[in-house]
Amino acid sequence: MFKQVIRGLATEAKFNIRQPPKYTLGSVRSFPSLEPHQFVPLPTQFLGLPTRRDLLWSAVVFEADRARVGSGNAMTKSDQLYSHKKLRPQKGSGRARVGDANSPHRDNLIKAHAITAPHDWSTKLPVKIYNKAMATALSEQYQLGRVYIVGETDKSLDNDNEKSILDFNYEYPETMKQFIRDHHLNKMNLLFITDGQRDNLLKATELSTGKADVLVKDAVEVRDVLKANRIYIELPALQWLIGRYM
Amino acid sequence: MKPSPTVLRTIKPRSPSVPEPVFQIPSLSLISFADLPNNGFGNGNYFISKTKFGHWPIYKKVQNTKITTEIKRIQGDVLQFKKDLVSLTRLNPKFVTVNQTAGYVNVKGDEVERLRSVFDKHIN
Repeated sequence: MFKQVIRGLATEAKFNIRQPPKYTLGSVRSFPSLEPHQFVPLPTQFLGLPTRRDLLWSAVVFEADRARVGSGNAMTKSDQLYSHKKLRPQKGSGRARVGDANSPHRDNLIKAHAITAPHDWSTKLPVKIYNKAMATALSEQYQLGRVYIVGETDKSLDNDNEKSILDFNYEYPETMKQFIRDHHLNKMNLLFITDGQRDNLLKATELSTGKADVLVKDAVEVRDVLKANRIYIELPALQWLIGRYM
Repeated sequence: MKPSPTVLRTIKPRSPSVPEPVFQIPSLSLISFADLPNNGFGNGNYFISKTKFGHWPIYKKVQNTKITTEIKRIQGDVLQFKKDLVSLTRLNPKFVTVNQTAGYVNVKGDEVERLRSVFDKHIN
């Protein structure tokens, strides 16, 4: 009787279903001042994912395997480093039987089953896993506040230096040094993801000291995203990445 | 040359290349505050999406003689989902394990049909 009363008082059990957020608001900035001008809604499926270290690990291993050249050149028995002469008589020495010096069990450079060039070290990974790893890597960086989206300028100001693309007006390394100084980026890994080739940015970064990568959108790997301390990405490049990897 | 079937078979017209999809940014005015982060999602609530074929992501998992039922695609508070599932289905909580990182819940035994019917009844 008492149990029945208590059961009646208890709230009805149900699933607490709720819709997850669909969009996150990203600030669109101008370059090189990085002044924010506009908000754009970006999908949380791409920039709001939880960190899955297993996916990141799989993707990084996949990329590292893919990058291997496979030019290993270990000696095998058929390379015939030594003479074919029997090292000592079969019987009478009081020691073990031996053949020639080309045997891989002897202390020499020869390997029994060597992997020699050309060798394809690349491994397989499902596309869905790789895509999710790319989204996870960018989400991680975005949630840490390390992603800066570039794509808008203030048109009311007549300022030639401010651009809506990731490029400098000049190719001198001093422009890059000034950018690093202004934004306190000393000793940081920088990654610039552009929509097309940006010559001035490329030359300014390669001549200035410091760690900075300039990559066109389709050359970006998960490793590059994870290594960077700051990511500067053009809005069209980000849209392309979302379309490709989401 | 006459366009005989043999000749036509040698000509392979190139299929038009499909342009890669680019994410189109929606207008800010179309987005409600409930679509944005910090809308309370993940605190005592969760979401389970259906597969693209419209099925619940509930699968029978066979590992030699060990048979479990796996529920996938749980976003948000997975522990709260476990509590709700246990109270709705009267499962032994000891037999329900949770993977919070991946958003998976494993139930001991083959409970696929039962869980599907519970999902159909209680989740719209």
